[in-house]
Parts: sequence; structure tokens; C-alpha cells
Amino acid sequence: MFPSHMKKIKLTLIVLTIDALLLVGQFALTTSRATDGDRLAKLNQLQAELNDQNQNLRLEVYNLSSLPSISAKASAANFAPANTVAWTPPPVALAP
Amino acid sequence: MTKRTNWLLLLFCLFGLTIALRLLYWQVWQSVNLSTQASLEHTSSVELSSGRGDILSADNFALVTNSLNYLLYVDPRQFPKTTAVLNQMAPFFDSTASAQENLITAQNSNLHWFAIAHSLSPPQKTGLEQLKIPGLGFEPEPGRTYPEGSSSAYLLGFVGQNTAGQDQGYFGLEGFYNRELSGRPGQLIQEHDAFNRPIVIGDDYRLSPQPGHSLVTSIDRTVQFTITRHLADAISKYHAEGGTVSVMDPITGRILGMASLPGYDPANFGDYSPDLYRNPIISDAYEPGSTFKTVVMASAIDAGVVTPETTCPTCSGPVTIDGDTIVSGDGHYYPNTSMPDIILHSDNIGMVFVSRQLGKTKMLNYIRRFGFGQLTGVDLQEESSPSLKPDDQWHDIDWATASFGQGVAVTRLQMLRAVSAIANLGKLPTPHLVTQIISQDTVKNLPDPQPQQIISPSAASAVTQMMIRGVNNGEVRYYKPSGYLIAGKTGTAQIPVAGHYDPNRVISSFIGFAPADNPKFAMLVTLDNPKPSQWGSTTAAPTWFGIASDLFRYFGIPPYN
Repeated sequence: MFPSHMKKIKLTLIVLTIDALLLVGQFALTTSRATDGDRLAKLNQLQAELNDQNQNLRLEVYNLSSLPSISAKASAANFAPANTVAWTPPPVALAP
Repeated sequence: MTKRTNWLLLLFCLFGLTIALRLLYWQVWQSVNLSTQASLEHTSSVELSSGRGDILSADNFALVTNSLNYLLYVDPRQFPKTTAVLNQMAPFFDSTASAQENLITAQNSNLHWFAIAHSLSPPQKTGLEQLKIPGLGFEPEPGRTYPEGSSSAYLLGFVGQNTAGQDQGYFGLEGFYNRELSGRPGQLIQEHDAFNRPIVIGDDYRLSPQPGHSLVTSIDRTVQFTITRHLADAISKYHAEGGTVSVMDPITGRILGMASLPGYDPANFGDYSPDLYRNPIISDAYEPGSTFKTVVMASAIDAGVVTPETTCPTCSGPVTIDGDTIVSGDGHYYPNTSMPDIILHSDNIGMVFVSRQLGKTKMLNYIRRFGFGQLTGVDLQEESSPSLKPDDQWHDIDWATASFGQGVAVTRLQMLRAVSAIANLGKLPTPHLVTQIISQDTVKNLPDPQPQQIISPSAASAVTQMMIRGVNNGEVRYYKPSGYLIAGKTGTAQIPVAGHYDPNRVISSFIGFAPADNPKFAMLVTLDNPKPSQWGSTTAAPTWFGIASDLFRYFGIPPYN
């Protein structure tokens, strides 16, 4: 009778220990995964921000190198539009 | 005792049955609804934007690209009701008046959400955020931006929303190539936790977005900028109501630039009248006036009914047809004038002679052969073509006046295309803009459409010589850049209104190509009702030559002497 009772207690302790270990393991695993999820969310947000920055820089480059922008800057710097003058030489040599 | 026990047993059984039925209801009957509700609570579905394709110039510079703008809104319950806040925010708005008015309205409102301004740029958003004013909020607002400004508005069109609330291109290239430019949006379905963080070991489903294709066009942004600047100057100088300039490569049919003023800003198209959305160069009909003489003369020479040496025996005075008298435009008559002189003097009576030599049927056939009365095929959405009357409805007076460009309606692009055929030794090009369609991993080259031979090269050369002579010896010679061979023709067309011509309004034009012996570009300039001079020779022609001088320099074309 006594050994059988001891066996039951032992078994109960083993089961309780396994339960506790599994509980701790599950807790550790979910914490780890939750941290990964948090990191993933932050990385997604960072990616979106970088994409926006990239897009804005691209637009800034376009705006700075557009002809209306360059023309306005040239005018502000007192550059005048070029004027082509075609010189037609006289048909015969002129005597001095 | 047994009876009471039985009742109790029955009660328990009923209670158990009720629970079982209830469980059956939730687990089986409502399982789909509950699963859906649960799924909605811990999964999120996000549409992944595909991004519309860019429209690029010939040098691969973006004429239109995507931009991320923001809608500014306020929560009036939190927004401070002071004028100091309005003054703080004022420098960040382009259209201060409208946004400020909305802010004042919001301050007096009891709503929870009030839109203040659309299309704020990221720097504007950052600046406003730094003010840390309570109640301000932003929502992303994807849009299109135009780095080269609005000068190409008529070529590009704009993007609005259709009745289903989806982005759709309207007018110009955005409208014509809407299917290619629109991408296919993707979708991301992902499980998330209570803090909206993705669950890594959860189920997710991702359908990758397919971005829209980008278009490479033949638009040369230097040409586009040059013609827009010259056109604005000309409208101001000649007090015109509006005007257009179109430039085309007459050999390939590629459109190099196209400008029309007054125009609209495609980024803010809603601020303009819808009447301004249509490109007048491809959709508005006008009477070409004397520029049309080149087409009729080329037809007559090709048909062999006249030669450059032919003289006009009926050109000594006005001509009467069906009771109507046709007079010279400037009151001068040139007895026994030659064909080149008819073009030089822009002689209406001489053109009536030419049309009589050609005959009605042949002349109408040639007009159709030059592409009038039909679409040019340009890849812009809103192209239309005025129809030509059936042959049996052309009275004698009609085809007589048509010979000098009156009583026949064309679009500006049809006219430019027809003169390009003369420049291209009789081959009629098809105007077009897109040369490449670029997708994620492929580049599709679109070949130039094959031009069709409509008149003989010798006829085209003969008319080219007449046009060169007209430029070198006509009234426009004073404006011509020296040292260049230019073929051109002026036009001053009256505007038909309610069965007669408006005595006070004209469309002045100049059409031509250069260098005439190896054409690099064909160009048409039109000015609506210029003042005080209404003649094409003193308004449109100087504008044409001014643009041509800049284009010679840009293309590196030296003077021939």
C-alpha cells in the first residue's frame, strides 16, 4: 500500500515538474516570438520611412535638375540666354 | 423518492441537452461567422500599393512621377481657437487663403474631423508637426508630381479618380496609356497581436504588387521648355488670346514638343475649367488659311496638272464663282504669275486657278491622302478630327476657297503632319510620342510607324523650293535667321462664326521645316487673335524663327554659309 502511494506522489511530482517546465518553455518561446514580431514591426516602419526618404530625395533631385529650376537660377545669377549670330563673309576679297 | 430522483434526472438531462444544443449552435451553426469575426480581430489585410508608372522624356528624365503628399486635417475639439495658431501655420501653406479659411471654419466647428489642405509636401508636413499644435493630423495622399512644371500638361494629361474611386488617367498620355501605366495592387494578410504587431509564427498571405509600366517618350524637354517660353513671350508681345506651338521630327513622326497657352496645372487640375483639359492641337478644329496652299500646290504638281513653270492666265483680277467673288487677300493681283510666285505672294486667285486645274475629285482625294478628315493616330487620348463633307456636297465655291484654306476645317496636328510629308519627300509620317515601354524586367521598343508615300519626291521637292523662296523673298525674310535654309508658309485665317466669318478675329500661323535640305524638325506656330497686327507674317513667323534659332543652336546645326 505504502510503495504504491509513494509511486503516485512521485508521478504527480514528475507531471507537475514537466508542466512547469513546459509552461516556462512556452513563456520563453512566446516572449521570444513577441520580441521578433516587435522587431519586425519596427523594421517594416523603418523600411517605409526609408522608402519615403528615398522618394523625397528622388523628387528633390528631379526638381533641382529640371529646366525651369535651372533657368530660374541662371536668371537670378544674371546669365542671359545665348544669341547666335551668323557672320557671312563677303563674296570677294576686299582691297584695303 | 424515486419519482423525485427521476424528475431531477430529467432536469439534468434537459439542462445537459440545452448546453449541448447551445454548443452545437455556436460550434457548428455559427462556426463560420465566429471564425470570420475572430479572423478579423487578429488578422489585418493591407493593400500593397503598386505605384503608377512614370512618364519620361527622351533623355529618361521624369516628366511625371509618383509623390507622397499629405492631407492635413484637424480635430476641432482639440485645435486651439486662437489667431496666434493661424499665424504660426500660415507660412506652411502655398494657397494660404483657402487653408486659412478652412482653419477658421474648423475653429468654429463642433465636428471631430475637418479637412484643411490637400497635397502637402513632406517638408510642409514636417514643419507643421514641429509646431506641436494639438489636434493636427495627417493622412497619406499619393499623387503625381511634375518636375518640369505644367508646360507638358496637354501631352501628359492627369490622374483623377473614376466612379469606383480608383485612380484613372484622363487625357493625353495618362489617358491613352492608362492600362499600361496602372499597376496591379498587391495584398498582405497577416496575423497580429493586441498591439498590432505581426505574429511571426502566424499565418500570412502575400500577393506581390505589380508596378505600372513606365513610358519613354520622344518629348525633348529642352525643346518643350524653349517653345513654351517663346510662346508665352509671343502671347504677351502680340496681345494674343492664346497660342500653340507643335514640333515634330518630319522623318520619324516623333513629337519633340507641344505647347498650348493658356493651359492648366495637371497637379491641381480641379482648380481649372474642364474646357481647358482638351489639347487644342489635336482636338480643336480651325481653318488653316494660307498654310493650306502648300498642300494644294503639292497635290497639283504631283497630279501633273501644273509645273513650277506654269503661269496663271486668270490671275489679273477677282474671280467670280457661282455668284460669289473671290478677291486677293492684300488687294494686289499678279497677271500671268508663276506657281512659285503664287506661294511667294500667297495669291488666292492663283490658288483658285491651281484648284481648277486639279479638279474637284482629285483635289478632295489628295486632301484625304494628306490625312485630313481622319485621325492622325497620335497616341494621345482626346484626339478628334473634323470630318470632310461628302464629295457631292462640295459646291464650286467650296473647293475654290478650300484651295487657299478657307471653308475646310483641320486640326493643327493634321496640318503639321501634312507639311511634314512635304519635308519627308512625299512620305506621310504618323505622329507619335511613346518610344519605349519599360516594365520591371523588360524594355519594349516601339518602332516608328512606317510612313506612306502620298506624293512623289519630285513634287515634294518642288513645293519645298517654293516654300524656301517664300521665306527668302517674302515679307518674313526680315525675321529669318541668316545662313539657314528654311521652308515655310504664313497663314492668317478668319474664324467662322454662325455662318459667316468674324470680321475682328483671326488665327495667325506659320508652318515650316528646317533645315529644308535635311529636315530636323517641322513646326507650326499659331496665335489666336494677335494685336495690333493680325498677319501671320508679322506675329507667328517671328515667333517661329525665334524658336528655330534656339533649336538650331540646341541641335548643333550650323549655318550653311
